[in-house]
Amino acid sequence: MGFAHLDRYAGRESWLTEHTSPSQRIWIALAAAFAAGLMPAGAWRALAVLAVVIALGVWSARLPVGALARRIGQALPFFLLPALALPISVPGPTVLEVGPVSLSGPGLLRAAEIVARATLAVSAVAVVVSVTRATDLLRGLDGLPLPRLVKSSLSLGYRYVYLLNDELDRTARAIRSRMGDASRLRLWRARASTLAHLLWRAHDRGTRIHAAMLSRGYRDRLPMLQPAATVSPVWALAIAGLFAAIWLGGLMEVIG
Amino acid sequence: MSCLGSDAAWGLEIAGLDYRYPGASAPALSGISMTIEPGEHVAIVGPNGAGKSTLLLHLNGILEPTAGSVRVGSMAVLPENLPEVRTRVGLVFQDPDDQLFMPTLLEDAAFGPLCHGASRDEAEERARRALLSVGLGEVDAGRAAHHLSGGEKRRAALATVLSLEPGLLALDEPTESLDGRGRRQIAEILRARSQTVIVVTHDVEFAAAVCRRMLLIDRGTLIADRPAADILNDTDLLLEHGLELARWLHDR
Repeated sequence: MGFAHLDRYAGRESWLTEHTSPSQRIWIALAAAFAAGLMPAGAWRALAVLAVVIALGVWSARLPVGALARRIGQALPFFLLPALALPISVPGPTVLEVGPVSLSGPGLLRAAEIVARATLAVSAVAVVVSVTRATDLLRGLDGLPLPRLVKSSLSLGYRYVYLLNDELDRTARAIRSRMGDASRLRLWRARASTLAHLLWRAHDRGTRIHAAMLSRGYRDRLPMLQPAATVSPVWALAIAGLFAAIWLGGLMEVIG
Repeated sequence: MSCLGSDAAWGLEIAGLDYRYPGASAPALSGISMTIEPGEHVAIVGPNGAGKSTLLLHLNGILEPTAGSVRVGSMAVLPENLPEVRTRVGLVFQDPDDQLFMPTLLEDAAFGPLCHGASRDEAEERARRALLSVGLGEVDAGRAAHHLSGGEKRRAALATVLSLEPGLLALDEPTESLDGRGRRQIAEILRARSQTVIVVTHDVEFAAAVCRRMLLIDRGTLIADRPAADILNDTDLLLEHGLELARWLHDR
């Protein structure tokens, strides 16, 4: 598997990378994602302000818009599918008929809002992940008040995702080479069985890795050579304050 | 406070070792006894499934014997001694991808010393020295394992335990999937070690190149304990226990 795509844009010089450390960028992404996710329903103007702030981040990161859109698009099914049910399930006057299905106005609005919020949150995270090296992201995450198990899982996940993908590719190739011109259905069945094998192998590998860790003295934490990257409380408060202000604007918009 | 080793060679004494995997009908190891002197280089050979890797996992307490005992130096391998035992015994696993689990090689080589209480400075110094001793320099230290060739991964895996400066080095199939140059590099590194070295392999020719003494294990029992050259020339013994030499491909 090509591993270069993960850090493909991480080496680029930009205003964002020159003026912020990896851990500061993680704070920005998290604050923006929380502001988008927790925005009160119907706060469209506040969402627009948030969109402008995130667009400025995209511009300052000098990322190719197409590449960024593709990364955001990969997450799209996860929030598009639940949103699709809303125009049917939320009661209200019908504004559109698609065959036998009636779509309600309030449902369409709720669906659009969920898609907008999720897109903004994913965009903020995608920008930061794109411009920051994976190893720097791990160090930055190490400085966050997250459970130790989550941090260890992320670190091991980064190391082994390539290996698992390589195994998946090899097994899938071996299956394809024996299948000839199989139907699409058979191909998907073979893929599903490959995935099941892979899960079993991943479990085996996990057991062996744990043995290798124990034999070098592992107890309950992955010690890192470099101290966890942290941000100053003033900086963290400033970022949290900016996005909290946008969120409060949204709250006022809805109440007022 | 760090309790790390300092390259002093440790001997090994195994007495009446039995092991049965949970739920298995037959024992994986049965009545294994051996004594290995400090600084000795010993190969444990045998066909696939003979119990060699299982034996290795007993040296630092990853597996607990069903019966019998294991001592490293004067210390029994018991649950209460495991932190100390694991600084004495450096175990290199068969698949280097299982051993290289940190984001960079330097972090991987520093993992053991950090776990045993070394300061960050000491751990880094040990890690860099260990990487250099297997031919991996400054540039390699910052690389991730998925950027390495098979031979580099093997050497890096070795460095991850050398940073602990263990007195007993135990390697499981160190030449598996290596080309000729990779095998030679590993052999040169191992021959230069002053510690006790135990190499578990079914590559008899490599074993004989690195070790003077050879132990043959099959179906969980110790079959022979003789000089490596003796076993290498005992065609009947090798054939009887499923070990074949590469040169026989041309002879037969």
